[in-house]
Amino acid sequence: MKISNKISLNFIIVFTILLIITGGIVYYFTIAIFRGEIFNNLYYSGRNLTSHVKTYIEDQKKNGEILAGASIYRDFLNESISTGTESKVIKNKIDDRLERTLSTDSNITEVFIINKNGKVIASTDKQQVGKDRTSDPYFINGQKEVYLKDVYLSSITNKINFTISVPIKNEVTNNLLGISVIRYKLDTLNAIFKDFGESYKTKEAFLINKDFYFLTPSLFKGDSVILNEKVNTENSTRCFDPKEVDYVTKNGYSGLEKTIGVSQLIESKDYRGIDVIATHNYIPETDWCLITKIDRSEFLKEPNLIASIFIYVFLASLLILIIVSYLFSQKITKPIKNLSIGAKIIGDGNLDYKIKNDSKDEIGQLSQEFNKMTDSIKQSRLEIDFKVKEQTKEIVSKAKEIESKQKTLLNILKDVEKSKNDLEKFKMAVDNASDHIIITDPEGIILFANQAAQDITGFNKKDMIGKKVGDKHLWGGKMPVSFYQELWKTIKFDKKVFIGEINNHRKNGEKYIAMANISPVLDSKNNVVYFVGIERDITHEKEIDRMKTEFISLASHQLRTPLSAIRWFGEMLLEGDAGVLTKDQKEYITNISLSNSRMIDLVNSLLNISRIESGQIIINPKPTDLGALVKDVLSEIRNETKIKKQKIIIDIDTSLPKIDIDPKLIYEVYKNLLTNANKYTKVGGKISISLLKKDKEIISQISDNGFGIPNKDKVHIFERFFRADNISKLETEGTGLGLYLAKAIIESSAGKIWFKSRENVGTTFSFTLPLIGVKANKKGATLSS
Amino acid sequence: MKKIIIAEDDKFLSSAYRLKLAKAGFDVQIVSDGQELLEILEKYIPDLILLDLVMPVVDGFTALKSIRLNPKFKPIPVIVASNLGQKEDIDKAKELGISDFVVKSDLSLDMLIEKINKLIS
Repeated sequence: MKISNKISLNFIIVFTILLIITGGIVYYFTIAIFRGEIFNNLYYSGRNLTSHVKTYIEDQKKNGEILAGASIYRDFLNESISTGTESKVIKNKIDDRLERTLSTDSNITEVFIINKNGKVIASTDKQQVGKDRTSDPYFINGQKEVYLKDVYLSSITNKINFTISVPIKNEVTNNLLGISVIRYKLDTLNAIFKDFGESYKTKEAFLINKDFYFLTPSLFKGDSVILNEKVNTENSTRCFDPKEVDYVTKNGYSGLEKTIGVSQLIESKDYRGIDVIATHNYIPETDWCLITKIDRSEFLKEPNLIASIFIYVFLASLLILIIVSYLFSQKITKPIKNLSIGAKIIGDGNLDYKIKNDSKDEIGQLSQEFNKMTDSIKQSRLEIDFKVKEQTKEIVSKAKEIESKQKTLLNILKDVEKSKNDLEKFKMAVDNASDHIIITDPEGIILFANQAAQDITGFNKKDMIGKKVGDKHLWGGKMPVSFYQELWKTIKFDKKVFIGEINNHRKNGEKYIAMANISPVLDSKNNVVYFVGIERDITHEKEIDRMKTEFISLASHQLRTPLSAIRWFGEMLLEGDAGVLTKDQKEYITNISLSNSRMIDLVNSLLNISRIESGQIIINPKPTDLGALVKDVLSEIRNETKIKKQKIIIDIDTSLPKIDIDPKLIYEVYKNLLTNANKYTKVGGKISISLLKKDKEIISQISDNGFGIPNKDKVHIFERFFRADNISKLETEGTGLGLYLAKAIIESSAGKIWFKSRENVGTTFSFTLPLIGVKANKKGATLSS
Repeated sequence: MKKIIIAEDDKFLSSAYRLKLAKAGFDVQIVSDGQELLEILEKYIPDLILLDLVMPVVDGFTALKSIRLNPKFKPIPVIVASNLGQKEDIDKAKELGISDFVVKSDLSLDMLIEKINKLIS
């Protein structure tokens, strides 16, 4: 239901309830007021009429008494009694008097006199004279006092009458002489009730006798009802209730209601059977009852008119109310409606729509807030659109990516069959590899061993799996405990590859040496999942190596001994120990000695090479001033540079710190590089040497503007025994071992060595040494100088 | 006159030693192996021994060990003059107790005399 309808309905309901309650109350009180009024009206008019009737009757009675008191009446009666005859004179007078009385009141129908014997002795109706009335009530009751004979239908006149009879008495003796009777018709009595209704159409009053017969006409039925129809209503019954009759007879009407507890206003049906409101008054003097009444419908006419007016007003008000409430609710709901319509428009997607409402009330504020909200929705919609576009782009690119991945995956799936074969191949390859391959879990428990492992160690594969590597019952356990600790630290905690020689033993007890490469396999969280150990049996290689070293060593020794002899005898000859030498002799001996020295150098170099190749350079680091070292080398080769008139340029950073390197070895490097520069640069050439610090290193550079290295030889320059083409033609001396040694030394000292060269332009050799220096290693051999 | 015993199996080298050291004023006795060295030490206590390592019968290391084990010979300074020159050899000799270790091919006899003089004069 719409809000406007709800508001209207609420208005209407509330208003209707209020009006009904008010209307009901008003109607109730209106009726009460009208009832009071009609009661008063009926009551007092009843009382009025009653007193009229009473007065009328009393007046007639008095008239009767006056008439009866007339002396002519007594005279007339006295005469007739005493004489028994009637004098004509008196008789005429009486008749005259009766006629006069008759003429005084048109209501009087007959005036007559009855003697004490009940005989009509005079009457205005001549036919009645002489008739006997002894049985008549007016004769019987009229002897003592004034008597009203109730309304009756006269048999004589055949009319409805009432009579008043008055006794005529002797003035002296007070004896009854006769009775004066006046017969009245009801015209005057009826006249009292005429026009009684005033403006009311149904208001009427009438008299009834104690037999409930109408004495006066009915408004509705006319004269015919008189003595002809009974009134059997609540009023008539109550009116002649003996209690009420008794009370009223004694006390009149005052306090009747209170005293005997009856309401005189009675609502019941009347003689016609129609609802009426009525009251009644008992008239004790005549023993009649006066009933005044009005139709209830007429009584209710005014309240009902008021009620109907009220209902019309109510309906009119309701109509007005409906219109007003509709307009009012329209006024209230219009902004809400606008808001609702606006919300729908906006809801349908038109975010540019603005709800129009400039009022300052809550709805106005709501509208403004709504507009604000719409703005922010619009804003965020724009942002979302933007983001959606962006993301759509991304999704498209992702989709393409996924598509390509999918293709790849499909290819992979297609290759699964092939891969199965590959896996088989891979397994075969591993199994057939000549190296001993094992895979262990992170605790070193063997999970896999290949055929070579079985072949090399002599242990059955089944014996290995499930056991721990290094187990004494397998091939390991021959190295010091500290070695194994170091190995585990490297692979398990440092998670690095361990490479080293391990002494093992085969199942038959035979010892062998293995070159082991043990790698941790890490998962994505950097946890060790497996270890892969590859071992190669290098016992044979080691033996050959040892024999080679031994051979070179021995050979060197055997070569050195004669060289020593040549050297020493040469020296002795040159020193003149065998007598003074001629110039030629001296020259020849010198040549022999120089050649011998070269031979010694060659032997020393060969010895060094054999040691380097067995990985046995001893590094014995000391804090060393490289600048001083370079100067020592330069002073040693000064003769040679002087001979060739070469310019030496020294550029040494004086702030260089001392670093921990093996001075003897690095001396050899500088000496080799500077000697080469000297040898392979022309007379008058230029040699520069610079030392500078860069980052965490010291860079040494030895440059010359000599012959340079031919491009084709560059790749071979650090190889042993290699000599570049251009210089081997120029200079027959040289072992081809100097650069090889230099590279071996620098690399053993945690440095790098490289060169730049252009043939016939010059060569620059550079090498680095770390500022932190190099650690000592105890094993191996020193170089032979 | 300072007495020097030289153990050297190469006759050319021992000849050179003898000529040079005698000229330099030393009393020189030459033996050609370790066995001979140990025998001569029983009757002839030198001021210095010049010892080769690679020798027949009893090698230099064995002889040196015997000398160092004998309290009588223990104080005698020993210079090892060998054509072996590897670190192991040098360390092994030094462990047994020597005054100096020289590689013959790298040595001039004049330098040797200097070293000897420093030790025993």
